[in-house]
Amino acid sequence: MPGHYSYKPLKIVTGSSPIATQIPHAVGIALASKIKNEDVVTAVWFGEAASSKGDFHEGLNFAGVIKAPVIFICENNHYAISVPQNKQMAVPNVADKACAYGFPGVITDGNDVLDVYKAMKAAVERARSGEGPTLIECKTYRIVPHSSDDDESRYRTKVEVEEWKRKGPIERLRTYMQAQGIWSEEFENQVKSEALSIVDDATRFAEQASPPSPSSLLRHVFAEEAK
Amino acid sequence: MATKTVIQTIRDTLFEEMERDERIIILGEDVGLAGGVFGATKGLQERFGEWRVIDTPLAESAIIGTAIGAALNGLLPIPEIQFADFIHPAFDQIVNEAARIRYRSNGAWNVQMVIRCPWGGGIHGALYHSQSVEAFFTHVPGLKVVAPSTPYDVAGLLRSSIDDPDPVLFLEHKKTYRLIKGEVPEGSRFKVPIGKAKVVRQGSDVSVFAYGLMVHQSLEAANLLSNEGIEAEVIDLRTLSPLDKETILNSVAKTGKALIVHEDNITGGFGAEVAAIIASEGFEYMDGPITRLAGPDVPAIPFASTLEEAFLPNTYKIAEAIRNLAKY
Repeated sequence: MPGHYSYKPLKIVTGSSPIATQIPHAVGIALASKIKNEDVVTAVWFGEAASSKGDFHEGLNFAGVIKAPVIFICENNHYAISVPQNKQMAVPNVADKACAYGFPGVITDGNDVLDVYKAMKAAVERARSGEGPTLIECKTYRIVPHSSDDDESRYRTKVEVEEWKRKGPIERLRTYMQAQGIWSEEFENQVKSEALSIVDDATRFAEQASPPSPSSLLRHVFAEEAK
Repeated sequence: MATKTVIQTIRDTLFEEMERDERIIILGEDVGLAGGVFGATKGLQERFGEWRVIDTPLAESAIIGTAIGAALNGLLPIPEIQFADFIHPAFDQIVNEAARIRYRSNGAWNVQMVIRCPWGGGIHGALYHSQSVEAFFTHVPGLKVVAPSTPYDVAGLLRSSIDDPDPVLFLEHKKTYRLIKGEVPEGSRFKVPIGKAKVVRQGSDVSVFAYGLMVHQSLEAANLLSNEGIEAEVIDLRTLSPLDKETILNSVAKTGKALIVHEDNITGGFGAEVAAIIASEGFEYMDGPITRLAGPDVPAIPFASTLEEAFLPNTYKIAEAIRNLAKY
């Protein structure tokens, strides 16, 4: 399933589908960096729904104890598929939960690139200087249904979705850059066409690849089969 | 050669391996300052420091989850789950993560780690300090399950597990810890291969397959029956996954009778897998019903001595089962 992608050269670790299991992994990766004396910071992403899970608590708790160089980034889109935030937790912010782990919880406007950048920069510096983890909550929204099979009209209004569409981070960054005089039509077109060609190339590559042979079903269970 | 208990062997092997390979870290509850509730990690934190022998919060999923992360970042973690009974909160991390990471990343990532875990009954540990968990985990491709019963095999299999590039669940029968002593060669990094059973007693009448403490009880039973003219062959499976079918089938080819002994309750237990292999691949050899002697289907081993004794197979129950089979 494409959702489990990874890319070792960029240290992007394979993810699974159970929620929050990646959080302790990130703590372990950061722990290893600390033991090996590497100047590396680990970042891990999850939704606000993950903060209800045991692995969220267990991972953040342990990370706080060992001051692991790790940044926990919660993309709070306010829904666990259909369940709204107020049915997931009794606190207004996921960031509030950080106080139980002994490190800062920072609330950001997740649709403001620069606000997120500022929080990330501080968290990276904190991790690098040995002060330990940061929990960053990015308030954002999922402007499309959860999946192709998800009827979002059962749990949210069109008005709400439209309202969030107007807060799109790309449009907001453009407005900001225009105001600063560092935007041009030419620049936008260039960025867009570069991005499109990367996506088009990847799509072509995937479409032209032959489907895996049935004989590959049994590969990569253990190292022996990979030889 | 030195004569050692199982627990001394584990401790000494961990010590030697940590001296040899600085990637190895140990993490778990009470493994550092206290040296483990059974003493398996005694003195290790003193020697290797608190960043290689880490006392963790009491959180099994985090112990395994962070061990997975450390492995992904080039260390070689040996997490300890204090009792097998408490491994269940880490089931998701072991089964959905550690065992599947190689497969789901098409071989790009692997998790080299050894989960050490005391299991088994017979020490009055009651419901939550006596459990057998092997059947849950032998069902999982991508995970190896090892259950040695002697100091020699503990040392040899622990080294093989450490060298294995995939996750290994290393089950240590807690009653063997101080009860079972044996010779362990010193100054040699000898290994016992994963996936190889061992014929620990030759016999021609009945094959007995066991692992952990039940190997020793089966040997006692076999020795008792020798006086009655029944010669049982006893096989220590040593590794449950991958299972050594060849040794199992070679034995039943000779005896035509199979008894599988384990502590875990019978339904869906590991004995069912051994029985199924014999039934499907050794059918022609068989001269009696493939028999399982196992715990009853009750939720766990009770505290009262009378009930613990009633639950567990023992020398006499095993001898009786062998006698019954030998009649065919």
